[in-house]
Amino acid sequence: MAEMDIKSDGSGIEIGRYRLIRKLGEGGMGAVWLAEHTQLHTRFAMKMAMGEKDGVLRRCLRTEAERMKLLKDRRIPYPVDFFEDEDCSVLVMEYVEGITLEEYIRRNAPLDEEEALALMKKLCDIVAFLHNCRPRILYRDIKPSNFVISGNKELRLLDFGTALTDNGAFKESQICGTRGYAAPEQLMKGAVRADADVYAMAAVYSYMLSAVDPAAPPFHPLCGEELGRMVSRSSKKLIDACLSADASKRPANGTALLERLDKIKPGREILLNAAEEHMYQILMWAQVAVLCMLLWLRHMNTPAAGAELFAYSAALLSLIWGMVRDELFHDGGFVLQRSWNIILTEKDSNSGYFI
Amino acid sequence: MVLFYSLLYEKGGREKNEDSIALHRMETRAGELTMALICDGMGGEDKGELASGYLVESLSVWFYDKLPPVLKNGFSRGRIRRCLQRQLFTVHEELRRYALENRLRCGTTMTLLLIFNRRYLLFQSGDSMAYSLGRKIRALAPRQGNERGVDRCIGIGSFKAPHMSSGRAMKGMCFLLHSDGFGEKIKPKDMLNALGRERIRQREDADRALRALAKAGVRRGCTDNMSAIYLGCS
Repeated sequence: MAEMDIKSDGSGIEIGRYRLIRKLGEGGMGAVWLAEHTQLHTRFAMKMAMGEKDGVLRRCLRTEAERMKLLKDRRIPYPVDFFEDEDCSVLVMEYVEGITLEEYIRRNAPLDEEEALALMKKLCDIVAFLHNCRPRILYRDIKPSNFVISGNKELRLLDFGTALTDNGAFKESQICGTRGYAAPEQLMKGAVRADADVYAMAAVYSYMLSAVDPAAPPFHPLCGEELGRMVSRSSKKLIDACLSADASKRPANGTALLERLDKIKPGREILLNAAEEHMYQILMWAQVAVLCMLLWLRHMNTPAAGAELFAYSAALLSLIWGMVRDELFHDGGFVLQRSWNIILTEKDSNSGYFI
Repeated sequence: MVLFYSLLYEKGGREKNEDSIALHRMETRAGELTMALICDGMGGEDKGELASGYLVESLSVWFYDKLPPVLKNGFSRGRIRRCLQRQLFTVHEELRRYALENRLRCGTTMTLLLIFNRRYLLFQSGDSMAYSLGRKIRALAPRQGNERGVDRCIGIGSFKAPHMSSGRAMKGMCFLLHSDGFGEKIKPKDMLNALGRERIRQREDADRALRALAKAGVRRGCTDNMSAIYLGCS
């Protein structure tokens, strides 16, 4: 086949009409190269799969090209060319500039909830688009490294190698996905529904808010209660629901998740939480003021009134302070006392490399 | 629950002690929590004491900072395990990076015992051992490793999650954690004879028994570092 002529000269390797510039990455499905059209001088991404003609990788690349052809959306790179010979299949597609969401999270996490939510809505919008396509598409490998984020924070989804189209029902039993992001049933049975993508999206949201990568041991995203105080209750509840091992408790698909995300008002909620906490304190202080007033009215004519009033007030204040203090401290007063604190080591404390 | 403790921290026949140990306790609203930890800096590896010392320091910070929020929502083995694994993985990667930058090998084994009210959780990576002592002596986790070395080690090779076991701390049960040097020449039966609950009434008894066992170990030809933690419970 003329398109697969491979030439190598001083300026690099040429495959058909494309010259390879550099390797962009390598995944389970094959290597991705940055390539340039030799006549138009336009840059493209080139995905290659080697092996037997009917091997899994090459079949996957063929179906990936077919799926991408169906998806006409600016957030998904369009396929430009596809050619193959006995040893290799090549998919040429639009080159998307930017950094991966993985890289962005690694640099900036934990993101504040407003930013994480804005990114999640964009991400979810793309996935909802896939779930609403005819035929429906299950992505099955949602993780930050499969999204590219551009300078104006536009998200684009790459790599449809594991995506599955709906032919009445999703029946393919091949196990795929990334540990930590893949829903439990996806790694066990392989039979998945759209809510498996919802699980992965919640894992991405948890990663953004916590900076704890689900793809590292113990391969489990942080659940709602493990996220910090600066995350709203609605987000925590949503993450818990999406990460539920029981798939029926998760939002059914990308659209349902998007609806739930739209209802979250992070700034307002955190303010309300703070107001709620302060309300408790305000009420307590108001009570103290009223009690002091009553005592003062009762004792104002007696000689010891001043001293007695002071004693009562001090006792009440110390009581109230004890209650308020528990709320103020980070652990909510959970830890009462520390003891022993023994460390015996011959590590040079001045080596200073780690701590 | 844990009434007293006794520690043994001996160089043995070595120039320096590559083991590191830690013992912490805190009183929480949900009950008393104790952590005993022994890390053996992999005899023969360069900078073993650095690896074990760093893990001990890191897990001490973890105990006070990361564990209380997990326990606040109830005692869940899964949540504690995941929280610990995250910390261990971080340390593992840092040690590997340090070793790579400095062209050396440093790793450590770990035996960590958490006692919360009447329940215990044991996490073990490597060949240090943990026993419960009642009328009988019982290993809380199977011995890991063989003559070629240990199969789970923090800082060397790929990360492997520690072995976990759990149970209830029965009335009068005591715990003994020791590094492989201590157990090299001293058999569990000797440990039970010296540290059985009928013999140990207070900390001084345990101190004396541990020192006697260490001396016996040296007499029998042990040249490794010897570290042990004994926890006497109510």
